[in-house]
Amino acid sequence: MGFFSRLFGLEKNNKQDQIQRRKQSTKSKSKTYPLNEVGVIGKFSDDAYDKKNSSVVHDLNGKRIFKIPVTARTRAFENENYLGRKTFKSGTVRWVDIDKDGVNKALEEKGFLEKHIPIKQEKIKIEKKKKVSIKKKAISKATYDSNEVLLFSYSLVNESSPIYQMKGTRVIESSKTDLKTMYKSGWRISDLDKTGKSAQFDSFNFVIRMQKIA
Amino acid sequence: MKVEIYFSHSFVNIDSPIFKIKGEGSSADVNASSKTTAKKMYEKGWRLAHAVKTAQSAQLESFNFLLIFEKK
Repeated sequence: MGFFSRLFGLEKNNKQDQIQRRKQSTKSKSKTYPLNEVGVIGKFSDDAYDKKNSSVVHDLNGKRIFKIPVTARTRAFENENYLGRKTFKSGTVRWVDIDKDGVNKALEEKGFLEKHIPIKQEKIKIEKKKKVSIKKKAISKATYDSNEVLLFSYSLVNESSPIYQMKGTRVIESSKTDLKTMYKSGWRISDLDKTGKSAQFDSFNFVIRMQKIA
Repeated sequence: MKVEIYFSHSFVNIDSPIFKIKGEGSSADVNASSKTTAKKMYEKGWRLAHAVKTAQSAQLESFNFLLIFEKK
C-alpha cells in the first residue's frame, strides 16, 4: 500500500468516524416529550428495524401517517422512540420524540387511544356542519322571533344583494341574507325606504321592512 | 313567492324600459341585455309590489326607479 492510498484510507476512516460520531451525538441529543403534550402518535412498523427502514410511520390504529419530515423520522428511529405531533406555544407544529415504553403502557388506559389517533375528515366535516347549523339557527331564531323584521342593505340593487338584520341602529353582520332567501322562507317586503341621498348603485342604502306571509 | 328587482332610468309608463342590475357595490351596473318593460312583466305573471324613486331630480327623463316585482 502506497503512501497516498494509505493517506486516503485514513481519510476515509476519519470521515466514517465523524459520521458515526455525529450520529451518536444526535442520538444522545434526542429529547422525549411527555405524552400529554402531544396529539397524534406515530410509530414505526414492526419490521422497520429489521429492514432498517424509517420511511413508514403508522398511527396507533395501524393506519399510515404521511407528511412526517425525514429528520423527525430518522431521529426517532435512531433513538428507538415513537413520534408525537406537538403544537408549541408559538403555534408551530412539529413531530417530536416520545417514549415508546410510556406509550405502550398508556395504551391500557381508557381513552388514550382515541386521544392520540388522527381525527377523521368525516368527523371534522360533521363538526363544521354542526357549527354552521348552530349559526343558522341563531339567525333564524332572530328572524322568526316576530312576524315582522327590519333589515338594512348597503346597496340594494337586486334580489341577491346582501341584507342584514338591525338591532337598534346597529347592523348585525352575522345575520347576512338576501331577498331571494327571505322570499323562499315565506317573507315578503311590506315596505322599504331609500336612506341614502346618493343616486349611485353602490350607495343604494335601504331599510327594508319584511313581513311573514300568513 | 318569488321576487325580482329591476331598475329604470326613467320610469314614466308601462312601456318604459326596465333593466336588471348585475354585480354588487361599486361593480353594480345595468345589464342591458335584460331590458324589458312593466307591461311584459305583468304578462308573465309578475306584479309590481314596490317602486322607489332613487334620484332627487324631478325631471321625467331622470325618474330613476327601483322596481320590486313579486310573483306567486
